[in-house]
Amino acid sequence: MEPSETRKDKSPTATVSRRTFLKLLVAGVSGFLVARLFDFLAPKTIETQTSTVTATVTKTVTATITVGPTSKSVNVVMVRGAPNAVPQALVEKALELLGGVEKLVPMGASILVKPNVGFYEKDAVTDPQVTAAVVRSLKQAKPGRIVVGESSLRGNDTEHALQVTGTRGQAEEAGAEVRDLRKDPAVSVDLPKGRAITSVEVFKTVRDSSYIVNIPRLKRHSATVTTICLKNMMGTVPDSEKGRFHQVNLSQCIADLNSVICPNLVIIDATKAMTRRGPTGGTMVDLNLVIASLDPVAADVVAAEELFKAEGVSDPRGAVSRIEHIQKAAELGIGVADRSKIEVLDVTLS
Amino acid sequence: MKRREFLKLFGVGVAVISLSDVFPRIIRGKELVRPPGALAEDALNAVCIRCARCAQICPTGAIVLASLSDGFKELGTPRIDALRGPCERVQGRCERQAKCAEICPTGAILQVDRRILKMGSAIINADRCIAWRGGSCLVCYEVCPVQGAISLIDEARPIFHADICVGCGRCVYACPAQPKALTLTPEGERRLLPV
Repeated sequence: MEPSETRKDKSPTATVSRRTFLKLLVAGVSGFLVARLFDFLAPKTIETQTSTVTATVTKTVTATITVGPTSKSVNVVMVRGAPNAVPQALVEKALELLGGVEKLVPMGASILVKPNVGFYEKDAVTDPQVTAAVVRSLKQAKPGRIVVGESSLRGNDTEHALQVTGTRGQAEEAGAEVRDLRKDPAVSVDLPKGRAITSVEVFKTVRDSSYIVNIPRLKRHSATVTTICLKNMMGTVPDSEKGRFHQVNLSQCIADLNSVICPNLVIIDATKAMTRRGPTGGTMVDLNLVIASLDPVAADVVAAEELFKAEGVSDPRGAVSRIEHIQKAAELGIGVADRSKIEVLDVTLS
Repeated sequence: MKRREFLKLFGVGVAVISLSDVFPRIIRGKELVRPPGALAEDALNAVCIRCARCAQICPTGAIVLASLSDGFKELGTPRIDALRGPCERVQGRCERQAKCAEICPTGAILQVDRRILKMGSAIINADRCIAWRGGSCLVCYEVCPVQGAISLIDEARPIFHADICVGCGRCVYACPAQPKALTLTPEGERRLLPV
């Protein structure tokens, strides 16, 4: 009797504890699953946001392109100044010739200004005076916000680059918010036209911007011949993506990226240009020039030609036509690379 | 009893396996890339008190502490892991002063003029290099802070000059190839003898 009793005593407790254990387990698992579900749902809502935002970005891009064919020419504005001219005057004139900043930038837009601040050397980055001048000019259009954002090349610290080059100080003084994009979360964006890659991770600030102003410095580049507008957009993607671009096919990836993450307005800082070698350590030439356009491809073509002229290349146009990423961007319909179809307005400020 | 025996055997087995891998290295010690201005190897191992302050203050996270697999004598001393970050003594946030040397309480790492600094050199495995395999890359050349350390053949393929390279590891960190085409070695390093 006794042993069976003990057994009887034990067995109910045993079953209960097992049952409670199972109950707890089920509760735990379901709790976990619910938590996961929420997690899972949260990005999904963001995802839907992504697609809508992407769609609007693409829309503006196509709008930019249609400007070309309807007027049968794409306008690129070149404003030359006297030696050591004030960048503000050059930038203002360039924007005025493009139609005026109030007409270009929609009121209340959230603007991303993307300079090239990938390096610690002042020669290799967009002149902070140009960045500040662009910010001041854009403020006249009464935008919602202006963010100056950049992520340096892998191995360089963006915050340090922003500070040592003076970009942070001058851009903040001009009234922009300056962001180290590396601190941003990355979001995925589809590239429907992409030939080498079909989607790309970009920083959230970039995706959430309704108007992108690209302000690169005119430079030579070891891997892509030149780095101007199209190449400068590589600062909008995280390091992992920059690495992938190099692994896959750099020129095509740059073109693919620009097919969706495309600047609405480009203002090239060619006050000084880096010739012969780049993106660092090249020979600096004073051009006292600012080039602006709504078409990043056409702007790259015109700017690259100026760069080759400054180097004394015998056939600058031929050299431009051999720059892979510019030609590939034109093939994707991002802009016009055919020099004969680009109308250039060349102005010299007295 | 059986359980105890099993655990004993298991313990011995684990110990043998782990030691067989580590033992030779514990005796010899691995060749490590050290922080800028680190004392000569024996002096460093003797003077360093393993306080880890250099690793904590390194702005790029390049300084890590040597593990047992790096050698018994070296255990807990600072080394540069270029995969975690580059050394910015030559260019960047430590340009004026090496933060690791500044914080070192025992003088195991000293301030050395960055013009005579050499922590080692980067070497390239061309089979893994994107540029050497016909792709377009040259990120190493873009990020190199020392002019002449990397030169180009046909403006497309990088050649590394170990005599000019200072071993900051920036190219190694930035190399987008997978696996990396570049490794940082202490080859040619200049180290200090304690005063």
